[in-house]
Amino acid sequence: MNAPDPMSKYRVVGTRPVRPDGIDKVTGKAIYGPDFVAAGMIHGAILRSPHAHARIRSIDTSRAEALPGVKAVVTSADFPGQSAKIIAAGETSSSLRDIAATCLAHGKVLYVGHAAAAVAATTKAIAEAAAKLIVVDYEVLPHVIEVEDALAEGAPILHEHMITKGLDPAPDSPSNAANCLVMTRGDADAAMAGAAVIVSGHYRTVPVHQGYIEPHACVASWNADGQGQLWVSSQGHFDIRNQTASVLHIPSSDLRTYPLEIGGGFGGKTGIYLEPVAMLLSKKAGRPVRLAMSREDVFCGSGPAPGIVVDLTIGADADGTLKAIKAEFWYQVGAFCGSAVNSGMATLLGTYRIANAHLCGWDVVSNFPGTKAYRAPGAPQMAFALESCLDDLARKLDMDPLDLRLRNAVRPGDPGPHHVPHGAIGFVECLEAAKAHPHWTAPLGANQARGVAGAFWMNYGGPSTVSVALSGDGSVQVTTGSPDIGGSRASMAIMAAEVLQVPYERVRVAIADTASIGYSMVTGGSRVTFATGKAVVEAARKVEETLVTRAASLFGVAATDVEWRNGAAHCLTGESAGEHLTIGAIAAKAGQFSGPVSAEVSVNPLDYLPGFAVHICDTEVDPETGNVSIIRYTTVQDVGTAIHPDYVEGQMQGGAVQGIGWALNEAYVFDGNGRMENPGFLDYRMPVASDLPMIDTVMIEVPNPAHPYGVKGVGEAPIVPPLAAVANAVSRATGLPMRTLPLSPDRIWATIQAAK
Amino acid sequence: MIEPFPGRYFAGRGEFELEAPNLFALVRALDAIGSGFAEMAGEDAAIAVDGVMRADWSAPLEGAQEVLIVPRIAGG
Amino acid sequence: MSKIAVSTTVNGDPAEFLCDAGETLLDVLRGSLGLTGSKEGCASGDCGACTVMLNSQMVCSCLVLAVEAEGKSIATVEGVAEGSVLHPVQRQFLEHGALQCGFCTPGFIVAAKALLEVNPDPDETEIRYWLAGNLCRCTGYDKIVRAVSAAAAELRQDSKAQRSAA
Ligand code: FES
Ligand code: FES
Repeated sequence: MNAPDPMSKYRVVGTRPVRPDGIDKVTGKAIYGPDFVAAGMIHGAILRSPHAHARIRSIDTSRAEALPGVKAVVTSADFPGQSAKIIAAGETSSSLRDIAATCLAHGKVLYVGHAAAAVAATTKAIAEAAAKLIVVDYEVLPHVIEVEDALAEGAPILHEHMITKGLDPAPDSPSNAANCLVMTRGDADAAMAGAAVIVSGHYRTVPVHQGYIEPHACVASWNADGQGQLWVSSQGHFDIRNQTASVLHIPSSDLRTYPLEIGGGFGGKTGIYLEPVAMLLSKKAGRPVRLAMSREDVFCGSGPAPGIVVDLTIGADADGTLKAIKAEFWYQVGAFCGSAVNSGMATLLGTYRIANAHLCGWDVVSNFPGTKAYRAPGAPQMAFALESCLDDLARKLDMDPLDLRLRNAVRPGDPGPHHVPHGAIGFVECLEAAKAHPHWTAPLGANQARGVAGAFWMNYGGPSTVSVALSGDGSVQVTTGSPDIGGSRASMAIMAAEVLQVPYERVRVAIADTASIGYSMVTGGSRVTFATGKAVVEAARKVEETLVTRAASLFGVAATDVEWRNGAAHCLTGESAGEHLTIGAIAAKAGQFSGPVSAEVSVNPLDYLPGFAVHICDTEVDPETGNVSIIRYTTVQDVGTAIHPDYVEGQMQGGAVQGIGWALNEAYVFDGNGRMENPGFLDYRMPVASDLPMIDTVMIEVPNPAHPYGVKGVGEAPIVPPLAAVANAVSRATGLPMRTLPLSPDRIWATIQAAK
Repeated sequence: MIEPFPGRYFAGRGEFELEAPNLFALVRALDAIGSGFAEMAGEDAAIAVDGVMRADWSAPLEGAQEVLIVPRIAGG
Repeated sequence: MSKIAVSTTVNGDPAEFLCDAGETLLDVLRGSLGLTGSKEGCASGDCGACTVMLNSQMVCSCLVLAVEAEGKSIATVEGVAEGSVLHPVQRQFLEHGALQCGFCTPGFIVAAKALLEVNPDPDETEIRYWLAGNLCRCTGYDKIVRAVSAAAAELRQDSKAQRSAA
C-alpha cells in the first residue's frame, strides 16, 4: 500500500499512508457529534409537527414547564425577529428568515417533522415526556407535495410573501414557484428544425436523503454574559457559528465553536437545524444542553435532495453531432426556496458542445423538509435526463454510446456552462479510457445489459485559513479549520510533507475551533484538498523560506546559496559548503531569531477546475420480478492529481454507490397527509454490501495547473453519472424506456407488463 | 452577464460597456443602473475576468477586455 | 420508577450499572458506561453501527434491553484491540482506507471480527452477506470487503505460524 511510486515526480504525494486519525476511528475513541459530553450537561427534545401544513394558533407550554426536571422550554417567540436578509450559508446563501424557520417554525409549520417547540430537562426521557405535554393548537391547511400540484391553480401557498423571482413583469400574487430562470444560447428553434434526428423524453426523480449514518447532534452552552460555546458535528463549524450567531443576533466571536468528528454529511451538514435552539435552551436553563436527532428526525427534519421533473428535447445531425437542446424543468425543493436551477442549467450546458439551447428552469416549494445540498447538488437528477436522452439518440442513430459522447464532449477551451471557457479538463481522456477498459467489451449474459453515462461537476475553491508551525524539535503542526470528513487530514499532511521534504509522520494535522484559526468555508463542494490544500502548501513554503533564510545566517552565506533538500538546508558555498542543518536544528534556534518558525495563510482561490466522470454499469433484470442486480461497475474520473489515492478511489466508489441507491431504491414516499411513510433505514432502502459488486476505479490524472500539485475536486462528480448509467443499462436489458426513478422492482415489473 | 441577473436587475439587458479600475467599482457602476445588484452580487455572483474566475475584487482591471458575471453555484 | 441493578462483564471486566426498564444496552454503553465507540445510527436494528457481541453472539445493542445483559458478557469495539495492539481487522481497515467518516467503522470492525471467528476464509460473497446488516454511506463497501479479506489472510497466516511453532 505504502510504497512510493519510483516513477512519480513526487515523494509523498500519490502515496497511501495510514490516516493520522485512523486509530481513534477503528478503536471507537473518536468523538462524534452524539458522543460529546459537557460538564453539567442536560438534554433537549424537540416537538415536531404532525401536519404537513398548518397555522400555529397558539402554543401552551405550561404543563411541560411544570414537569419536574424540566429546565427550559423554547418556542419561536424566544427567537429574535428575522429579516429577509440574505447571508452566506454553506456554499450558497439563504435568507435569515428561512434559516431561522428551519430551526423552529414561525407562525406556520410547513412539513411533517417541522420543529415547533423544544424542551430541556435533566434526562432525555424527561425532556421527551415534557415535549409531549406541549399543546400546539394547529389550524390544519391543505398541503402539496408534487410540483404539478404545487403549481396548480388554487394550490395552497406555503409562503404568503413568495413572489416568483425572474418573471417579467413580476407576478402580483404569491405562488409556490420560488424562482424561474431562462437561458438561451444561439437559436434553439431554428437549429432543432434543421436537425436530422430529434429525441425527447419526460423524466422524473423524487426526493432522496443524503443518508449519513450519524444523525445531527450538538451541545450548546450560553452564559449570562452573552458568550457561548457550541460543539458541533458539521461540514463547517465556522459557517455553523456564523449562521447561528446571525439568527440569534449576537457577534460571531461570542460563539466559540468546536468541531467534533463528523459521521458523514454529503452536503446535508452545511446548515443549521439544532444549534440556535440548543443555545436558547441553554441560556434559559443556565446549563449546557445537548440536542440530537433520531433517525426519523433526520429523515423528516433535515435534508433531503430535491426531486425533478424534466421535459427534454435534443436535436442532432445524422453523424451524431448535437445541434440543439430544449428543456423545461422543475426542481421539487421542499419547504424553502432552494437554488438547484443554476446547477441544472450547468449540467445541460457544460458537458457537451451545444451551440443552441433554450432552457427554462423552476424551483418549486412544497410541503416536505427544505432540501439541502447532496453531493453535486441538482446535477445527478438533470444528468439522469440528459444522459438517458443521449442514449436514446445513440440507439436511434445506431451509434456506440461512447462514440456519441466522444463526438460531442467538451474539450479544453470550449465554453463552459456559463461561457467562462473550460480549462485543463479531461473528459475526452475519461471517455477514451472507458472505451479501452475491458469492461466495455466484456460479454454479457441473458437479461444483462450495459449502460454508460458521462457527467461533470464544477467544483469550488473559496476561503480557507491554515497555519503551519514548527516545534523546537522540527516536527510540523498543520492547523486548519476544515473538518475532516473523509481523510483530509492525511492529504493535508501529505502536501506539507511534500513541500518540506520531511516524512509524512513528522507532520500532524489538527482541525481547530473558531477561536484558534481564521475562517474556513465548509468542507463541501469538493473544495478542501484544492483550496485548504493550497493554503497548506503556501504556508509550508513560507516556513521553508524562513528555514532557508535562517540557515543562511547560520552558515554565513546568502539565502540563494542554501538549498532545501530532504528536510534540511544544504550549504552550497563558502566555508560550510557541503554541510547541512536539519529542520530540527534550525527550529531549535528560534530563540536566537525573531521568534518561532510558523506561517499562517488565508486564501480564496477560484481557479478550481471541474471534475469529469464516466461510469459503466452492467445490470441483470429479472423479468419475473422486475428486480435489478448490479453485476459489474466501473468508474473513470479525471481527478487532477490524486494526493492520497485510497481516499480518491473511496470518493469515486462511495459516490457511485449513492447514485446506484438513488437509481434503484431510494425515495421519499408520502402518504395522503404528506407524512413520510418510510422514515427509517428498513423502508428507506440504501445499498448494503450484498447488493453490490466491487466498484472498479480508473483515475485519470489531468492536473490542474493552478494548484501546486494539480489537485481537482473529486468528491462530487462520481454521484452524477450513476442514475443514468443504471437506467440506461436497465432500458437496454428490457428494451423499454426508464424515465422515472427509482427503478424499484414493482415499477420495472409494471413497465414490462404494460409493454406486453 | 448571464441570467438571472439581466432579468432581475437590468430589465433583460445583459451587456454593458463600462470603464472601471477594479471589480468593486464595476459592481458599483452596475448598481447605479440596476439598484440592489451590488448587495446581491456580494453573496450570489461569481465574476470572471477575461475567462478566469477572479476572487479578489480589489485587483486592478487594467487591460481587461471582458468581465463576465455569472451565478455562483453551491456544492455538497 | 426505580432503577434496576444489572451486573455484566464488559470487555473482560466486571461492570455494574443501574438502568430503567426501557433503556437499551446501547443507551447504557454510551451513557453510564461511557463507551461511545458503539454508535447509534438508527435505534431500530437497521444500520449495525451499534453492533456488539453478547455472550459471543453478534447483536444490535439498540435492540437489546439493558436488563437482558444481566449475567452476560459484552464485547464492544473498545475491547477489540489487545491493549495498544490493533486487531488485524482494525489494521487492515487502516491500510486499505476502508473508512471515510468512520462512523460506521466500529460496527463493521466488531462484525468483521465475528465473521472471521466463525469463517476464517470467507469469499467475497460471504463477506458481503455477513456484513449486509451494517450500513456504510461513504465507501461503497469496496475497500471494506478488501480489508476484511486481507485481515482473514493475515489471521490465517498467524495461526499457521502458531501451529508450526507449536
Ligand atoms: S443503531 Fe442499532 S442497528 Fe442502527
Ligand atoms: S465511513 Fe462513513 S458511513 Fe462508513
